[in-house]
Amino acid sequence: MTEPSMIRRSTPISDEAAARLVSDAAFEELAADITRTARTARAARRPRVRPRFALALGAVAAVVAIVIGWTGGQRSAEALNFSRNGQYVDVTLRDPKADPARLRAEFAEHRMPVELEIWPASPSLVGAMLSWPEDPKNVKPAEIRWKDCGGIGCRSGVRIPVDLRTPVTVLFGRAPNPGERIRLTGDATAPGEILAGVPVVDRTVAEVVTALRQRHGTVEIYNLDRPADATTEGWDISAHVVPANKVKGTWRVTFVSSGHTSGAVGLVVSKTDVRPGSE
Amino acid sequence: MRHPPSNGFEALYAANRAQVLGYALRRTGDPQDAADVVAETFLVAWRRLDDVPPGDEARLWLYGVARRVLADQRRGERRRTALGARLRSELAATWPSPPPEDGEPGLVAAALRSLPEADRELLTLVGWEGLDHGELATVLGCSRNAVRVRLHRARRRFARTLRRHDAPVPAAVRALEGDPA
Repeated sequence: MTEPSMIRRSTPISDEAAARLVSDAAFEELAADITRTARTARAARRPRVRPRFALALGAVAAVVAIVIGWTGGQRSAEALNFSRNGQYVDVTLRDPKADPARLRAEFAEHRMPVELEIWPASPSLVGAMLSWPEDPKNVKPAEIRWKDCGGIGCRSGVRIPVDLRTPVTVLFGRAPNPGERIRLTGDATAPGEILAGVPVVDRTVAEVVTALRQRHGTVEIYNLDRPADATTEGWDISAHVVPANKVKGTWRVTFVSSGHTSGAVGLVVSKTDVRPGSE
Repeated sequence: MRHPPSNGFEALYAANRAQVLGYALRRTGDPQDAADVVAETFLVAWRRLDDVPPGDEARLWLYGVARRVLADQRRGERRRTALGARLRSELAATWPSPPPEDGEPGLVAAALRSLPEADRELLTLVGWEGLDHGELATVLGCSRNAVRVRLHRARRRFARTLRRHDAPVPAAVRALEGDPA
């Protein structure tokens, strides 16, 4: 017998047994307490972040393969901005409407192994950097400034080591062309979106739909949020679509995402009725 | 490629809440303290969501946070948190009374308790959480080499302590006893 196995046999309680001591509802209450408290604390220094709705990232990307390299010194490009920061280069998208070919041309001058994906995005995500490589030692979000994307996590740029050798891919949102389907949907209450600044969380479906109609918007889809008494660990919102004619106006709204076309939104709802006087 | 971590608190919490609770319960033996550790750990994770690494490293990062929360708790520097009242009350109601420690597990537990805290933490992260050297280095914030050296010394002290408690000493550990490292 080895010493780790001896110690293992002395384990006071396993993870599985520990989890059985507490109900899902108790775990969920703690998560709600944490996010509620932290959200208030974070609001003063950075955009509010709500970890509720995943970005609707499509399967096929218009990948712009770029082989670039940092040639040294400070540089300002027209559509992209390259800024030397110690051993890193901060890259931000200055002109989100720029043709990807033009961006490729600008990157090409710097000879770094970066693949840039640029997807049509809803207004609050246009120009935002939304995804970066897993290896945090290689590439990380640029701490240049926060871009306000509401409840969707995003950054305004990416920080790339000047001596980067491993190819990496980063994703930016761009403005869609007229009639083009949006692939990156965001928080419909974020700046620039159809419900910008409108309080929607814990409002009734009827209230949110009224606010939406006043802005000539439409509901693209209703998704059911994870019920408080759900027994399963995961809850894929996209797999729980509710037909519009089954949704009650008194149901509670928990999140509103922007949709895949201009003016459309997706409502994430809970079957729990909003009681008068509740938040 | 990963997506911004601020999208992932819900997933992070769902994937790791049992592990963090287990980590805390194994070390505190007090359901109230364990509930506080879980609440404080995930509060830190929420506030520093951008620092949480992706994938399985997230669990190691959370262990590192929980370890510091526990250390503060032991020093009496941590107040009760108001978060997670239901978690606390349920744990208090369901936490079983510790069984009598007899036989080898009891002797091992007693030997672990009498070790310096740093040794105990290292050995239990291996034995209870099943971490390897690289994972230990991540949790403890040190190099793999440092882990190797510290683990070697901790095992040697553990072997000596086992002898004092009349517990069987594994051969692999017994070999370390005379090692001057």
